[in-house]
Amino acid sequence: MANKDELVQTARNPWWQGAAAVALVAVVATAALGGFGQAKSKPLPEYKAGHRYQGGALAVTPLRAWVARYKPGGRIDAFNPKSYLVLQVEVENRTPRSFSAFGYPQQDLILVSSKREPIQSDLLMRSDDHSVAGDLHPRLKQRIDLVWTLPKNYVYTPQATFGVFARAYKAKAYLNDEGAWVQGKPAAKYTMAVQDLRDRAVAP
Amino acid sequence: MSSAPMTPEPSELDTARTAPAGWWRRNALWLLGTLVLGAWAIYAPYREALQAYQNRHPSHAIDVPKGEWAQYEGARWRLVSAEALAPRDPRIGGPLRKDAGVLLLQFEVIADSGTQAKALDLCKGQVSDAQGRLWDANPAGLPRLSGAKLPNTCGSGYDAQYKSIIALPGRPFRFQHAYLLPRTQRLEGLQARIDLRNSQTSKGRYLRFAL
Amino acid sequence: MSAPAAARTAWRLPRWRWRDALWILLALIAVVALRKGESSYEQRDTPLVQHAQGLGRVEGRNFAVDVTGFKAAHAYLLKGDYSHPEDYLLRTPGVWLSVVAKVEARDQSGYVGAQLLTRDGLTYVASSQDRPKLKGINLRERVVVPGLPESGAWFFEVPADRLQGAHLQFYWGNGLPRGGDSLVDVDLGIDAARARKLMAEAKPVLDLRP
Repeated sequence: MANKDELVQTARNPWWQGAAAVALVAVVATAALGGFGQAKSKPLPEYKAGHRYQGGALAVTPLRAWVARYKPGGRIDAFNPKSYLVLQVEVENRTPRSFSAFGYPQQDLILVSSKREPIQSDLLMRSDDHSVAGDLHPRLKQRIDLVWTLPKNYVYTPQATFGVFARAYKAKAYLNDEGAWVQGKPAAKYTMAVQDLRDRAVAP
Repeated sequence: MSSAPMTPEPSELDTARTAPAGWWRRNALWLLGTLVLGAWAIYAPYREALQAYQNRHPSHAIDVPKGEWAQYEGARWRLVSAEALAPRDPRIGGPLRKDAGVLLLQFEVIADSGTQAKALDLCKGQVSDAQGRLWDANPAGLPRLSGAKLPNTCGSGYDAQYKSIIALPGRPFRFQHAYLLPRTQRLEGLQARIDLRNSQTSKGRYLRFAL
Repeated sequence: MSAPAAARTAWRLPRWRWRDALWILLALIAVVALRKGESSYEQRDTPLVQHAQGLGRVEGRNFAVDVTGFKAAHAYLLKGDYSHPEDYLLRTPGVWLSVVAKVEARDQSGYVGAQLLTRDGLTYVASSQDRPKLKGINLRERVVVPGLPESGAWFFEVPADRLQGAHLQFYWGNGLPRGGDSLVDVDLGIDAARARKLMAEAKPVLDLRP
C-alpha cells in the first residue's frame, strides 16, 4: 500500500507525531488506572423469601422451596421414582397483555446451579389446584409452583439459590422495529431454605 | 475537498452550460443500465411476494369437467363421486349437528413415475360455493363415518383391512374427502378443489372439479 | 491522487466553506427530524378497529359475533373428568367474567379470538380451552366453519376493580390480532353502576356442571 518513502515522510510529519504521542499517553493512562484488567461485576442484590422483586415484566415473591418425591398435588411414581425441587412463587404480570407461564416466568425465574449456571424449571403448576399453569393475566397475583426434576445423583442441600432475570420493554427490539420485552441481565438472587419432604409418600 | 475557488472562470462557465449535453451522451449506457436494473429491483420483490402469496392462496384454477381426468403436479386426478349423505344415513356413526350435513367426495389419482406418495400427501382439499365460501376437507367436527374405509390423504393411508397403502406410480389410488356443510346448502354451485400449494412447481394453480 | 505534490509541499488543512458546513447541518437536522417523526412498528402494524356498542351482532372481516350477555362469578364448579374424578372448584385471583356469544365464520374456516381491553389499557386474553374445561362451550380455539355458527362462551379472569369501562374485542385468528385485519371493539357499556351490579350479582360459586 504505502511505500517506504511515504512512511518515512509520515513519521516526520508533526501532526502524526502528535497523534502518536496522544495515543501512547492514552494507553498508558488506561493501563495505570486498571482499564485492561478483568471487569468486576456489580454484586447482585440478594433477598430472602417473601421479598417482592419487580423484574420489569414480572413481579415475583418467592415464598418457599422444598424437595419431595412427588410433584405438587401428585403421588410418588413407583415405576419411575424421581425427586423434584419445587419453588412456590407469587407471580404478577406487569405487562399490558396476558402471557403464558411457560414464556417469561419460565425463562426469568431460574435455579442457580453449583456451577453458577441458570437452570430453567421443567414444569410450572398453579399452587391452588395443581393444574399446569396457563396464561398469567395483567395485575393478577398468582401462586405458581416451579418444578425442577432432579437428577438421580442429587445431593440434598438445606439452601438453594434462585435467580431472577430483568426483563424490560425495548421499543425497537427487532430488525423490523417491533417492540418486545427483552430479557436483560441477572437482576436478583434469592437464597432460600429448602425443606426436605422426601420422607412423605403423598402430597399433603 | 478541492482548494480551488467555487466560482467558475468565464471559460469554465461556457463548458458548464454545454457540459450537460455531453454528459448525457457520455453516460448514456450507465443511465440505460440504471433504468433496467432499477425496474428489475422494483419488479423482482413484487414477483417474489406474489409467489409467496400464491403458496398460501392458490388463485389459478384449472377447471376439470365432470368425470374427466386432469394432469396436475405429477399425477392425473379424477373426481369419482360426490354424495351428500342423508341426515339419518347409517354411515354416519357419530353425533352430527342438527344444521349440518355430510358431503363425501371420492377421488382417484394416478401418480406419474417419479412422483412420491409423500408429495401427494401434502394435498389440501376444499369445497367452494357460488359465493366463494370455502370449507376444508375432514374438519374437526365431522362425525365418525362407517362404511367403505378409504384414505383421506391423497398419497397414502389405510384401507378397509387397516393395511397401509400408498399411491404407486401408474396405479390408481382412491381417497375420500368428507365435508361438513350447512344442511341448507344445495349441491349445485358447489365445486371441489384439490391443490398442492406448497410444492415448488404449483405456482398458485389448483384443480377445480365440477360436482 | 496528489501524493507526489504532498510529499513536496507541507500538508495543509483544506479550506472549509461555510456553505458546505451549512448544508451538512441542514441535512443532519432533516435526518434527525424525519427519524423522530417516523411511525413506530406498532402504529404501522395496527389492526383496523371497528367500533360497536352494547350487545348484539357485530361483523368483522370473515366473522360475525352475536353477544347475548355476560356475567361475573368468583369461582366455577366443574364436573370432574379422568384427571380429577371429583367435581372441582376453579378459582381465580380476580373475578371470572363469562361472555355468552354465537360466532360464525363468513367465508373461510378458522378461529375467532377474543380479548378484554380495560379502561387503563390492559388486555386480558380469553381463558384457554382447559380452564374451564367445558368442551362445546368454551369458544377459545374452537374451529368455526362458514354456515355453521358455534354457540358458547368466552371466559376472562379480570381484577374486580377493572370491570368498569371494559371493552370486548374480537379478531380473526388464534394468536395476536393481525395488523391490517379487522378488530371489532365492543363497548359493553359497563359504567360504575353496572359494574357494582355485576359484582353484587356475582355468585361465590357458579355451578357449570352439565
